[in-house]
Amino acid sequence: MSKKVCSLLSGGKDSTYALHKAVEFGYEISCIVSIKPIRKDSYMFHFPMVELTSLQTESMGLRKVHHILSLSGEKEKEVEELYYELSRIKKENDFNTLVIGGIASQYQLNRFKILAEKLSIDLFDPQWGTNPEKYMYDLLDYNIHFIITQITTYGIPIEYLGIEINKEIIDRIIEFSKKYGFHAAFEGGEAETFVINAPLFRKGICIESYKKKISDFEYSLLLKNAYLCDNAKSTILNS
Amino acid sequence: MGARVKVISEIEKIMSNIEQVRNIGVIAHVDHGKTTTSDTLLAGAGIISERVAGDALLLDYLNVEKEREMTVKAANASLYHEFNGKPYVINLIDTPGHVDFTGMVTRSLRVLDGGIVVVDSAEGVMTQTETVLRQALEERVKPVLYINKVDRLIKELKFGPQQIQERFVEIIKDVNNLIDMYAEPEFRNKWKINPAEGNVAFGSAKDKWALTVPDAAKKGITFQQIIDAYSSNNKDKVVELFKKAPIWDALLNMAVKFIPNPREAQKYRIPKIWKGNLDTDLGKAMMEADPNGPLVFYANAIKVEKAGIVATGRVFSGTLEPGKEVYIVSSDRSGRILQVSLYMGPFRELTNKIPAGNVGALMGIEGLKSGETLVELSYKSQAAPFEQLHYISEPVVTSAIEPAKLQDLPKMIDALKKLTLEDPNLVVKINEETGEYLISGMGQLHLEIAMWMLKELYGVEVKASPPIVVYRESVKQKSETFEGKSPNKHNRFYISVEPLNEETIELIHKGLVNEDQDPKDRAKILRDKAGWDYDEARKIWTIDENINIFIDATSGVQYLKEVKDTILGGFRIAVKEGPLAAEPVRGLKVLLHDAEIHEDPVHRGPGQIYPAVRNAIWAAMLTSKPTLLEPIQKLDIKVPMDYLSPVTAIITKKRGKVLDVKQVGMQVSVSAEIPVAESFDISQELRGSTAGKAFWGTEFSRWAPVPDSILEDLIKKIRDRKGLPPKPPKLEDLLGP
Repeated sequence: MSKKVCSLLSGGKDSTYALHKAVEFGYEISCIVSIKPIRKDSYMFHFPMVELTSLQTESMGLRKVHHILSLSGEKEKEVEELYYELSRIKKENDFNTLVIGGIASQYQLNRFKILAEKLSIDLFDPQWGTNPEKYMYDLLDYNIHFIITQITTYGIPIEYLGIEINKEIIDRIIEFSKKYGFHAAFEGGEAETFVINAPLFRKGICIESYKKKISDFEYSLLLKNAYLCDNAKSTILNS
Repeated sequence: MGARVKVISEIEKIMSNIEQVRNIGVIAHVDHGKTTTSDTLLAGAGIISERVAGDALLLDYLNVEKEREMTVKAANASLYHEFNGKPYVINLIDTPGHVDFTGMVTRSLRVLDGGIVVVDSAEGVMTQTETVLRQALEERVKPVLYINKVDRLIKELKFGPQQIQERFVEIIKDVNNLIDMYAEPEFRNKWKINPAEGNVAFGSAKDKWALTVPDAAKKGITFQQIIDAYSSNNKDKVVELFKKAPIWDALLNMAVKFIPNPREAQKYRIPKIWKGNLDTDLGKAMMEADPNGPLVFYANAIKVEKAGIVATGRVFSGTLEPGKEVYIVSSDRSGRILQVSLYMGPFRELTNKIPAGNVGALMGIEGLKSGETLVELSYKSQAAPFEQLHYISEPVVTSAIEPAKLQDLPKMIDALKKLTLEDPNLVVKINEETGEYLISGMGQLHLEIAMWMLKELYGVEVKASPPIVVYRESVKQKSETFEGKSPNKHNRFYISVEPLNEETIELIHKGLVNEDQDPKDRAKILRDKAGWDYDEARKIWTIDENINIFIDATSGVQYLKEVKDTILGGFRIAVKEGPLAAEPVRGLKVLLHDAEIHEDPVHRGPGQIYPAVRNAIWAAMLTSKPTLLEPIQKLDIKVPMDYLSPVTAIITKKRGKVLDVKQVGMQVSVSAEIPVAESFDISQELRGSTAGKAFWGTEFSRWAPVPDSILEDLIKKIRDRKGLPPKPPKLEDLLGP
């Protein structure tokens, strides 16, 4: 039986990579779901990642199956709400597997396991348990082009905000992750990333934004403009 | 007189008879004659081996000037002395004379049983006389007194016999007052100076004579004769004093008669200076100074020589022998002794054994630092260090240094390593951002001495930045509780801060309260002596080296144990460089009241918890009247009456305070305090305004808040220098919007 999958897409490197892996395995993408939590900390929306996922799905020609869901973001309620929304989508457009991009968070994996069980579907988590350092280089080798849109840890310098991540920067990030003790692939919520180009993209994404310091150890991009373009590019504007 | 030639076997024989051994040192205020006294003792009572004597060195050795250079650098000199026809070995352990070396004084005191306190008769008891005597008494080192420079009373002050006697009585009274104040009750009366008993001598070390009162009577020397000797132009009369009453006779007789032998001394000193259990074999052997017991060696001085590290120290029990395996207590490792040597005069000679009670040196253990305790390896389980040495001084001044010639960099690094081994009060750090070498000491002079040593002893010329005063950050009041969120918002810590009280700071500074203590014992001490709540005191997680305490006041927080080390990592980041000016925090009590910790380890790594904890501590500090503490120096100035007002004016101009003015004869003694930051040119100013007639001593006194009027400017100045933004972080930078 061929697999029909629903892929969770946050716009970041991990979920984009997982989606690519699913396609590489020959699975059929029957839905893409992006979750927009309604959170009190409004600065989260300086860089509206979830809204921008529509540029990505448009670029991949998957806009029609893309759903953006608003969830409360409250710890226990969230899973319940997601379950409800997914079962609704599943009725319209059946799928038997949920694709997630987790690497190391047991907490998240457990929640998705419960969810999949309730929906009687499988989980596909191609990166789970991978070595985070090697994984960062794998992303580049796979041609996932991404930027850091938000830093929320001790140890990542603000200079890396908003620039396309290359091998040299990954070398440094790994060095810092050892020195300051954060997860090299940001699995502990150390940073958010956004993919501006990838093998399945027909067009790149151009981003124009400002840098903003939220507090010590918290920096975010403030989005000015984003659009599909021929050559993906992230531009930092002077504020 | 002069040096005696002995064979090693004779010295070994005396050393094995503990009643014929004494361990002494000379302690004094700077310029009161410590070095001259030590040198003349060595000149008169030195022993040299046949090996050295056989060399052409003998002639040089007898040349006093050469010896002087020798003693300055020797950690110990073993002297030979005969008393009532019996031979004695008297170990004269070097105690550094300069005020900036107070830390090393404490260390050498630990190996002494008695101290010759030298006081300049013209100046009387001064700041450092008090400091070193107090330190000596704390270590249960028994004092005898030598009133030096009696010639000054005659030549400069024109005193008659009556006045001289009065001056002596005054000095003895001052010393006895200090003994009254600082000695423990059981020694207070036993250790008092009593001229009639003969535990005080007077004389002139420069002219090599000394007399006790009973000696003077026996030899028929009167004050009038001494006055005549110095009043006439006939130098032979002074030489005659020396011939009748050579300094080594008086002082070494005092040492033999009044300083207990090592076995007697260890009975009451070990319980005070050693941390371990006295009921163990190790403890018992030390109480008895048993040469057949397990080896315990305390290294008080380290010299780095071509062949390796030479550790000089005292054998407290057992016998020091080559080949023995030892456990190095404070660094928790073991090593093997390769060579053992005894001292003959200032020279080291190889030997096969040094029995308990004696001072000797060993080689073969690399990386050894002064202040370490070595214990025979098979007794490792009973091992304990000699009390953590606590210093009266702290490093307060820093210079950035670089070699004058770039290619000297490896040489400079090597020399700095050796210097800090020899003098642990000198701290060298590398500024990781700039790659600069930062050297910190206890005063400007301490740094100057270090530079001098780099050049003279190691041949490295360095360029040094002007010295920078080191500050501390602290708070003046209790804060509210602040919530520190991890950047990923999955972890929260509820933290408040408050200043530690003076009693607590003092207890920690003295090492009476420390990190390694049993929490219950520690809590009792804090409750009884510093007014703590016992339950709170029991919850101390850590005490850091800058006297900050972290307390876990939570109950039933899940996953707290798993992240304890990470939380403490955040605490250390917060206090290593404080929020005001990135200076170390001092005297802060941090309370963790509650926490929410994410169940998944990947979401609660250091990258998340460090900032959460740091931010909460900083926010709490910034709202509880934060301030900078500056080092304050104590000044003790003696000056003729006429110059009192210019001296007072200088002190006031330098934000100083006159604490006390006492008239002593024709001069006044001004005791004052000034901030170290204002002290860099005080020598010139004091000399300039008193026609060079002021003399003074300085020492570190305490940390004090800088005046509010200069706080803001000072913060800005330090931040500028460090390349930080001009203003400290705001609350919203720390707590988020």
